[in-house]
Amino acid sequence: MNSPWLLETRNLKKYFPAGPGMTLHALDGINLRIRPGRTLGVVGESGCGKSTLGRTILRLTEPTEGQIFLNGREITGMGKRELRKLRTKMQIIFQDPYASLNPRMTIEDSIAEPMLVNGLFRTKAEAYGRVDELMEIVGLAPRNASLFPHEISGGLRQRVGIARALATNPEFIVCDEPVSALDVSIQAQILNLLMDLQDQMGMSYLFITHDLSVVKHISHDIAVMYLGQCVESGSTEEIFRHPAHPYTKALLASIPTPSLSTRDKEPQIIRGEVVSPINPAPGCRFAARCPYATDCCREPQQEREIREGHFVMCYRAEELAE
Amino acid sequence: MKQELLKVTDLHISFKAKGEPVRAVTGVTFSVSKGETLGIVGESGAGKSVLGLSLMGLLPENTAYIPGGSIEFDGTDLLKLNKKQIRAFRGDRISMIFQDPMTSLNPVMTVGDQIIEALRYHNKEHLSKREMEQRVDEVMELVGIPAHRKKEYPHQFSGGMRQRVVIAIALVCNPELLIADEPTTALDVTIQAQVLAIIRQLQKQLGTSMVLITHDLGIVAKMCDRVAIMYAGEMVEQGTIEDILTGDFHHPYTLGLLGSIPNLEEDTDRLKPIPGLMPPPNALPEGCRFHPRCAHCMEICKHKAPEQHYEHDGHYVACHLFAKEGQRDE
Repeated sequence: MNSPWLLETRNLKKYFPAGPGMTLHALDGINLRIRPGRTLGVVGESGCGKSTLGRTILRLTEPTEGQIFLNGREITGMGKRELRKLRTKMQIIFQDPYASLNPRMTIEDSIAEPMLVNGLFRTKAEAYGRVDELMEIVGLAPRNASLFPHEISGGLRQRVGIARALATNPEFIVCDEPVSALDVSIQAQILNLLMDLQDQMGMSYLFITHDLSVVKHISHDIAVMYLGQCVESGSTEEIFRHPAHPYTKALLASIPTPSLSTRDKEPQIIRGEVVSPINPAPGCRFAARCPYATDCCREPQQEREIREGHFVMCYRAEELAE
Repeated sequence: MKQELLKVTDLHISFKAKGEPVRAVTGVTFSVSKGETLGIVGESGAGKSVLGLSLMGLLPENTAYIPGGSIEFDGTDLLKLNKKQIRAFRGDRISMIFQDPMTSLNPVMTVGDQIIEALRYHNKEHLSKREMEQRVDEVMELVGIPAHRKKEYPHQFSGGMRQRVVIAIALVCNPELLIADEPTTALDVTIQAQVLAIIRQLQKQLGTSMVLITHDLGIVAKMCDRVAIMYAGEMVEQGTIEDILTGDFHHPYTLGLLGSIPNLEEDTDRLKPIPGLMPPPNALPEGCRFHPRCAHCMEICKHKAPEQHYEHDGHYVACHLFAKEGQRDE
């Protein structure tokens, strides 16, 4: 039972039917591990399955195959009632706080709801006492309590989303692009808040984003996804210093940085676009765009550990690692 | 001295609203020389897009109006032209790339027809139908779309390809000025890199000037020669890309923007966000508009709007911190 990992997935798969004879491979054998109090950043472009991953781990969508463990307990196959109890331990923060908050509920009611639903407090008064505490923790002024979501700014709305997620004292929070809809100055406020909360309360995050600079800033470990597969994973430092998968390299090279040093460098641009995740061919899914692809890439690729804790799904990983 | 293609002087843009008009852009002055790229950077609500639309004469007619200023394009004040006259410029000598390629393309027209539309309308070279078709093929090749796809509809293209179509439409008449409003914001990073490379290469090839509106300082660093930072309808700092990204002669807002971005090259433990929010245009604070969020706020900032203080010709900061001694106590 005692697992060093707060959360672990083994060979997690999620397929969606996509018409006669067609299956959309949203997740195809994902193995992830998150330590208590740490953040795993999941990066990838639109359609790579990163949001499906977050939702599947929380069993908001049912996995097709594979196992999920929270604190060593398998949650796949768990019954509804048992799962519901566990729900308080795992929460999610969504990208668009405007779409995820009930427009007809006040801020304090929205924050109180998860506590009342889960029966965490005996009386409403106690729950609302906790609401005041939570609002202070996430930096919402008490005067906002009786306002509705449309009356506050996007940054404040995201704070409400965070307060709601914190309401049940979770051990694990999926953050699904929590800052993508925000302006940079507000984005920085929210990132700092999430990091402070982790320091104080010690929960783990699965941080889903397409923004590599954000992921580098907030994550201890990183998993890079491409078309439903985790093509590379390892510690943040390792991934940024010694990226080995050609896709990771291309992603890193594509980010425009606000400095003069890279201004005149033409980045190595990868050709083409993401292919369809419907009935993918057995080989490496990045091969069609990969500048290093050879005939061997048509074979199914295995996830291999090229250095301690650094997994890559590319047969040329060793020679390409920097 | 380079030849100025676009010269905007003390431009104001307001919107009609109940009660007081809403001032979206107030007193903006800048110019773009031939072949140059000017980046206009700011957060949502700073007035960047409204400014971009005004250059094209595309402000919503019923609600927006321009209380003052001028937009001179190659010596002609665009604000003095009537609708018909401005149409001769729009899409021909000045054209625009919009942010979202799905909403800026017509879903029931083939992309070829959409590209040829502007050409057919302007047709200053009196091209025959066949020559126009040829021009469309050329432009499509130029932006990296195989010409045989011109009979397809927008929904048959991916996001990156659609944005190439939008660029092709903008380029088909060989414009002298291109206004790009967040041209890659809706795209993934690897596709963004492709599209930016195409824009950069075309600019080099065709010598087009560009106004690039973005919130991403990384893109600015890659694409722009000069940069203007906008905050709450004003330009708070303007200079060359080197001026903006180096040295310490900066507006506190510029520094705030730079401090808010997680840096990929260095390790930072904490970001330095700017506290608070940008004021809405109908509730602008007195004095300097940034003062309620500024760490260096002084007494004077609360009631007197700052002037532009120059580090050198071409780089100014609108902030009281940079007033020369003696000026400050006024």
